[in-house]
Amino acid sequence: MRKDDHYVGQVEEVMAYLDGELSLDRAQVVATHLQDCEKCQSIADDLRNVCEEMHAWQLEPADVAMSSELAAALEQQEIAAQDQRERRWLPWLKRPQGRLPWTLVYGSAVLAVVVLFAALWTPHLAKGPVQSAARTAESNMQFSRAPEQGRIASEAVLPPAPVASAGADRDRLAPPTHSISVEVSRALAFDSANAAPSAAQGQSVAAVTRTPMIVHTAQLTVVASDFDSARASMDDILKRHGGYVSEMTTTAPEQGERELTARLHIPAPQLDAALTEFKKLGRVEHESQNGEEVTSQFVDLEARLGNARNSEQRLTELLRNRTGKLDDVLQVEEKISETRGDIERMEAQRKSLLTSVDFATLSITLKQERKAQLQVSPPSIGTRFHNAAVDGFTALADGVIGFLEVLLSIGPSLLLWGAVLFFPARWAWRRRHRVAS
Amino acid sequence: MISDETLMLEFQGGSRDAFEQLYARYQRRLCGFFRRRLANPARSEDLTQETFLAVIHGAATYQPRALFRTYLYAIAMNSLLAERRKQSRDSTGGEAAVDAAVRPAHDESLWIRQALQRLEPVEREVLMLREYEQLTYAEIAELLSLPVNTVRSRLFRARMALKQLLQGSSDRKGVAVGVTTIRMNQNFKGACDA
Repeated sequence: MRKDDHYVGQVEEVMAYLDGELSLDRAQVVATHLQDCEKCQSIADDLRNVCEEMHAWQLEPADVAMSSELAAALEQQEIAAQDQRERRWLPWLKRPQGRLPWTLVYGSAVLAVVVLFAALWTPHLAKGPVQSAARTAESNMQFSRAPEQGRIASEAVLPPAPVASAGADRDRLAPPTHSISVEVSRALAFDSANAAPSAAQGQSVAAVTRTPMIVHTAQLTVVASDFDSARASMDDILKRHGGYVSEMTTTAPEQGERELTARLHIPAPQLDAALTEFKKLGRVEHESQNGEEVTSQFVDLEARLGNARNSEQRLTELLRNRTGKLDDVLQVEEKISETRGDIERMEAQRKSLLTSVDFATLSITLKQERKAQLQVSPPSIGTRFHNAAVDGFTALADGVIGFLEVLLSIGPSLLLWGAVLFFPARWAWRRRHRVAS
Repeated sequence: MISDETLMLEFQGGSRDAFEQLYARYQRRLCGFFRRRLANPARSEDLTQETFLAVIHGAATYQPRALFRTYLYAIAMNSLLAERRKQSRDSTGGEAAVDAAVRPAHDESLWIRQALQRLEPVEREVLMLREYEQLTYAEIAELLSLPVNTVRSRLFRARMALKQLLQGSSDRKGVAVGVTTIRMNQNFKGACDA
């Protein structure tokens, strides 16, 4: 900056220097310049004086107390911020069936390992209630394995089934405490429908893991000599054991044997007795039984259901207790609706599963025994004349119809070729006739 | 000392203490901002409350892209403009701009207020934001949506203009003080004679 050329930008720079708004290098340049330049010194003095005079206008300090409106808004903001924090967990609440069960599984596994180690390494702790807890954990782990392993575990823990008439496979598949399982299942259904989910869930899961839940299915094919009486007996047996028919088909061909195919649902404890009676209807052509353990599936479903109910409860409380923007409210309502849909779907699955456990499915085929019939009596003369007349009339009708069909099919072509060949043929015929004459 | 921006973010997270600290830091300055620009002190306090209310309502969307001070004064400036529009519509008491209706507490400030009143509105605002609110050039530029160089040149012009105005005022003030002194001397002399 030279002394003799003070344009506007330069004097403004002096002002910026006094205001502390210049960069360090520019500030050094201006400071050096100010030491020598009287004009700039004068401007700087003027600027300082103006600032001093402006600061003569001082206001009396007055505190502004926070108004009630401001305090209320502050309170509301606190609530909104809390909602915002809670909303961060909504994605977790949104898909309880996807994430929380894994958390539950991991947590349960860690807890089980800790309890096992505690029981093994500290013998004095293995006595009393902790010991029973460890045993419960062990049994839970056994039943939470694959179905085949679970079946082996149940076989090892439970005594053999006292059913004499069933085969060896049936003995393996039938747990003796089946009636307890059914009652527990029904109690669970009642609990889940009416009681608080968390407590009922804890008890039910514990009870269910103590008793395996098995879905029984059986197939039976019986050939009966007297089909009608066998059919009636089948209805009686079904009624006596408290079962019901979900599907039934009967076929009766003219020249063949009648056959009945039905899907019956019989209370699982009654399955053995009912099968025994069904087998007495005739000769057993085919029989098979199957049992699928669904304990782990049921436990998993229970856990997911409980989590979904808790989520729904929390969301409902959130909606009831908190206020917020319309979008937020709608979002929460949508999540509640989704969660409610999940709960209803899982409850339907649960009900279906419990029904499958309570009622065994029996696919039965009842066949009529084949009886070859000999045609000994010839038809009467009247019948033979009647049949001959009918056959003659049928043949005549068929002949006329066939002739008409041929005529219609080749008639147009005949007419065409007749018209084309008529005149040459007539000319040829006349010429030949003339030559001959 | 915790920065304003940190406090504002804490308040955004739900800390009431953070807001109370911000309120304690800025309530006087904000009230002064309004009192220097409006005639009615009670209304200035109301606008101060309204400005903080707007801060509360806007907390959810606050992002620390600029200084909190700039953010706060931007809200205050909007409130002030709205108030001035309202006053011009009502035109009951009339907007007193800087100080016309503020009853002077000291003669010194009266000259300043009158001189400021004669400045161009934008230059006056730039000058007052710089001197009374202690905002930097960049903050003023952001607040008034002006380039920084424009702020600097307008500030310079405003200061020079104010210097001229104050010189004229001080001349008049000097005359007025002289007249008062002569009158006082005359009264004193008259009293002594009596």
